[in-house]
Amino acid sequence: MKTIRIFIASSSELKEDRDQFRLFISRENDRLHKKGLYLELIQWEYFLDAISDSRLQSEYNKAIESCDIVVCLFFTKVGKYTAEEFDTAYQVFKNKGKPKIWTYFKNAQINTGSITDEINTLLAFKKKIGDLGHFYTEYTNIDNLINQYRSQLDKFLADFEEETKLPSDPKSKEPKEIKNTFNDLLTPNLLKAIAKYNRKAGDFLSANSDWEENKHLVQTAKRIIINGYVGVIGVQIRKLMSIGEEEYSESKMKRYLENCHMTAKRGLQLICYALISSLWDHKVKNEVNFSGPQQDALVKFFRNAAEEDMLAFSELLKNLLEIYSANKLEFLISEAMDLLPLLNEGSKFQSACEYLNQLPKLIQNSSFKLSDCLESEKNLSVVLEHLGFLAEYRMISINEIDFNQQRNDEEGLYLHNYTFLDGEIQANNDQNKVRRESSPVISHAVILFKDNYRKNINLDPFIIDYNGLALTGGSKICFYSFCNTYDDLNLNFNFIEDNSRVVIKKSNNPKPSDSDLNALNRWLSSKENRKDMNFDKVYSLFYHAKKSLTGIEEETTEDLF
Amino acid sequence: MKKYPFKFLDSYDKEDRNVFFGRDEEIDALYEMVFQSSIVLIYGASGTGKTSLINCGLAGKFQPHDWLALMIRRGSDINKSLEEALNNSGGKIDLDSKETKWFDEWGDESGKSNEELSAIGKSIRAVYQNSFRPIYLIFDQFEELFILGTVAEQQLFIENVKGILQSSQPVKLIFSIREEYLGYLFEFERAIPQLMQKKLRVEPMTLEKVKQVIVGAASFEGSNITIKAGEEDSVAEAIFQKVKGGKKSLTIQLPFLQVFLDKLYLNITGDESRQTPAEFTFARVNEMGEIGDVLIDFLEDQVLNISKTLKSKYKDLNIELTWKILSPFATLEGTKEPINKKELIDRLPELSKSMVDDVVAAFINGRILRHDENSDTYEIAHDALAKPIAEKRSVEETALLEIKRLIKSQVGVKEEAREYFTEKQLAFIEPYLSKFQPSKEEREWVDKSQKFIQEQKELATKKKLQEITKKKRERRKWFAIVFAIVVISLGFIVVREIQDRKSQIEELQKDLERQMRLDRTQELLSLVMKGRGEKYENLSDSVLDQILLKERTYPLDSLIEIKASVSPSNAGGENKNYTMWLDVPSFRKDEIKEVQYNFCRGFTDRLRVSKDPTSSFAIGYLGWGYCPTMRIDVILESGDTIQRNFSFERYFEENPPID
Repeated sequence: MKTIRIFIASSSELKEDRDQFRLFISRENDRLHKKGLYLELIQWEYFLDAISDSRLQSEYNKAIESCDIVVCLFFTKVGKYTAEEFDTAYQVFKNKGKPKIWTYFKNAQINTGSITDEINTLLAFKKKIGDLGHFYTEYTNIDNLINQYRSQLDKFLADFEEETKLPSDPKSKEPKEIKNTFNDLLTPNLLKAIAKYNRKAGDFLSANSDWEENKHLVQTAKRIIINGYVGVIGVQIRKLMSIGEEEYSESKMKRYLENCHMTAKRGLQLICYALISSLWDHKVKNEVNFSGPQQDALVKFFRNAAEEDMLAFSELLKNLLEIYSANKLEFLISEAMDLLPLLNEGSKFQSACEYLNQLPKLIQNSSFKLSDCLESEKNLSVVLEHLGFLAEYRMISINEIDFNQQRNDEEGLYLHNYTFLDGEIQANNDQNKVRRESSPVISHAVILFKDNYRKNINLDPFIIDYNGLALTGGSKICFYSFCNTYDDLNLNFNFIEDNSRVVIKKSNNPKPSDSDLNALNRWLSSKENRKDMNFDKVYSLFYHAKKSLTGIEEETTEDLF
Repeated sequence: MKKYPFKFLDSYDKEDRNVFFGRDEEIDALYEMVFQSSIVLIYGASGTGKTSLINCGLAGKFQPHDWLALMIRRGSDINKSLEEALNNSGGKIDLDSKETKWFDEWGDESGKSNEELSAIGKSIRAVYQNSFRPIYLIFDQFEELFILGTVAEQQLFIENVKGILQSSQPVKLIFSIREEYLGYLFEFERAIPQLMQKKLRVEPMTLEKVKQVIVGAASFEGSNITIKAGEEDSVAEAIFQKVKGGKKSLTIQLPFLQVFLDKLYLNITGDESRQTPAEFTFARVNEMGEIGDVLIDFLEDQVLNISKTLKSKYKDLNIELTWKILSPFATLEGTKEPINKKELIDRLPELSKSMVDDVVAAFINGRILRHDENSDTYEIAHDALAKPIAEKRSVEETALLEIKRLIKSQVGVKEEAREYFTEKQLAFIEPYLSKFQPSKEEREWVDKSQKFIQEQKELATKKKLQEITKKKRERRKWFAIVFAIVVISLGFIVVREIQDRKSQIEELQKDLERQMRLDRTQELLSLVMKGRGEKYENLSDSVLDQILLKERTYPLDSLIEIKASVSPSNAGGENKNYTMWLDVPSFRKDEIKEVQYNFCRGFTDRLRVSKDPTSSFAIGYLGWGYCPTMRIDVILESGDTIQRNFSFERYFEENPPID
């Protein structure tokens, strides 16, 4: 006979409901004993008689820990003991994933005359458990309560039987106690991986060999990683660290998996886009020859009418690195060349990519478990460790360039307005900075560089700052996703913060020709026109790059500028 | 379980995002702005749903790991509330702590070095590093800082905001303010120029949006509301028209819509638990009465119900008292004012605590009042309710509030900077002083002012008397000289013109007559004075002279008295003739322009004016009721106003009615 222990907590005003509930449980037992199940009801009246005051709390804890289900009933007030019982149960649940807590609020008419101050205890409690994300239901009368309870109990019993049927298979059972181990692997691995590229991380490690013992230092380490990896990757790592801090829930696991996948993908995308962008520069200078398959890979990328998956990006990366290697082309991120041998099937890096690539399917089927999260973290760690060199690079979004030369100044100053892109950029718009230079630089672009700001990779039109182009202030970094090749030729980008779609289309607002200077000046004086000009430029750059690298010319890509 | 999609007077939060309709454009715009600036300002009229737009609309756009919202209401002090909100989220910092000192060495271009961080910046960093979620500090009902906050509180807040912005932490600030208070942000914007750069106006609900709300609420899965097929548009339009009432407006107020929808639902189902499914039909909507101010109707219903229900427990409780218990929750201007239990009890000293507690609990249950746990204050659920509450106040209550404000405004500053209350203010304050409990300091300041005024008066009188005596002495001197000349001249005439004796006698006779005339004037004067009432009878000439002197020279407001007389109606019955007039020396009447008699609630003409000096500015009416206390404004030709209160209650105590 299997015993399911049910603890019932309620205030004294619901005595009647509680008695009815007890009757219901005994009726259920008549039915369940045939299945070898027994519901044991633990109620506080019995309980208080049996124990002394001084041991109350520990006795509660013990009793609740031994229970499978805690039922809490509330009406117009929340008694001190009931609240404590709930807190105890919730604490135990958080640590062990057990007992299930089912909370019911009675929603029935009350005589306003009977309302006392205690109603506030109810309101406060409702809000509190709402804030905890705890789910509760309402019942109107005892029949309604029993109906709801019965359906929840049936579901519980079905799960219970399922679980107890397969005790021999150790894999099918999640560890009993769910300890929050999220990021426990990722944090030290990434910190070590970036230590040699990022001074802050290196100094931190050498000064605090025991950092893992100290919670404050762990949090600091996480922040160093978030801001250490080049901006767009940091944005993703921030999300992983944040999800990691959350309490255990289904949604936490799901989002952790989603973001493990997205982080790895953004890493591959970033290197691919940097390589393509530079390749275009080399191509313009006629330094490049492609083999047939290499050409095909580029055509596939430019024509794709849906976003490529991770494996397609790793394939593209392989082709690009081979082009660079065969043509002996220079590439600013020279460390990336070391990735080439890792892109073969069976390598640890490639296997990790393959694992992460199948996560969206797993999420879609809702067939994930806690162990999948740990496995994903391990694989993501492999990918990011190999991209550790990115910690040496910085990304900025260049906005407008101001020129300032006043009377008797021998030379003018160029004031470069830029935004520093780090892992917290989307949440912190206070990164707008000005840099004084003696010459201009290409504006309205996201650039990647190591130490020398002038020696950079211009990522336009593959990575853009939508807000910079729209002249609205702030940054909205978007990654190129796919283009409507077989439709209206619009370009689709993804906003890295929430992966939402941003569409860039050609405006119907052509810039007047350079020959009509008055008309041109008038046109440029409007901010709306300059905004259209900026987006049209992204659009035409993409098709220029496509033409240059694949030889394919779209009919509608006549140059407006 | 089916869900009831309306929220009544509560705002929507993240959990309600599948029942929040009609604000998609605003939500998108707000979401965009959040990525364009560290500060976003949301403004709009009261009841347009600003709070819901943030808590439900914007919050719903974020994943849990991208959004750590701290809602901050002013409470008793916005800076304390901010600190408390941060502390509760793990932002409590030990300023002397050394554990993170080493972090300083690595300040980089992202400006995250520890050194420059203000205390609040450190606190924010601690909150962030607790969860790595970007922090959104949401200052809801921000106007409270300007309506209720002190200048010092506002200035400290500006400093705090600067500290937050300079902290380079992932934190954003969202301010939500009623649009009529936008002007108050002037100083704030001067200090924080980006305050107004990204701002969103939440428009009132148009017909199109109302349609989205109603159709949306009825069509989402799990809603217990449906609209009769084919009637979606007409139902929405009819609801819009009903809520709009007779007003020539293209928009309606959201709380009105919510209360209306709730009422409609209850009319259809009668189910207070709001679980029974309901079908909205055009016919059903049309059955609803033409409701101008649904919300106010609703409030009045609640007051009535609560008064009735609690009557069994508290015999004294009536509708007026119930309104009175609500009164402290509204300011003089009719906006809401959050207060805690203690303040409430203090402001209602004559009521029993348990009665106030029960009434407040009943209003919470009826969703008229709301309890804010963070600040432990109670407040009216919606601004739209504050106005009717303020309007229900008696003249006396309003006056009491005005007096309290007057006293607070003086006593609130340092003693060196205070000004004494003027005589006029004291006259206004005094009758009410016993009705509320001024603090010791306040009481002392009133006493001091009284003393000061008394001293000033005595000084003035003394000065005047001195002047008069001086003038008299001069006059006497002058008379003596003239007299001497006359005597000399007479002597001269006696010697020189003895033959003119006859004419001399005639002249003496004339003198005699003059003297008799003078005597008659004195007699006439005492007759006139006696005619003015008992208190002038049996007074010696010199006393009468003194009274006249006083009446001629003293400031008018020390001479004015309000008089009344009540006599049974000639026609019999309950009606009586009420007459009120001004007792003022007749020769000073020309200084008075008009007298305004302010009647209490219940009278059709609440303000009656007399400009007629010949009737001593009297007014009269025939009726059965009177105001317990009336305020009378005497408007002087000089433009000044003298205020007097007249208590009919006292009058009837002194002059019991004779039937």
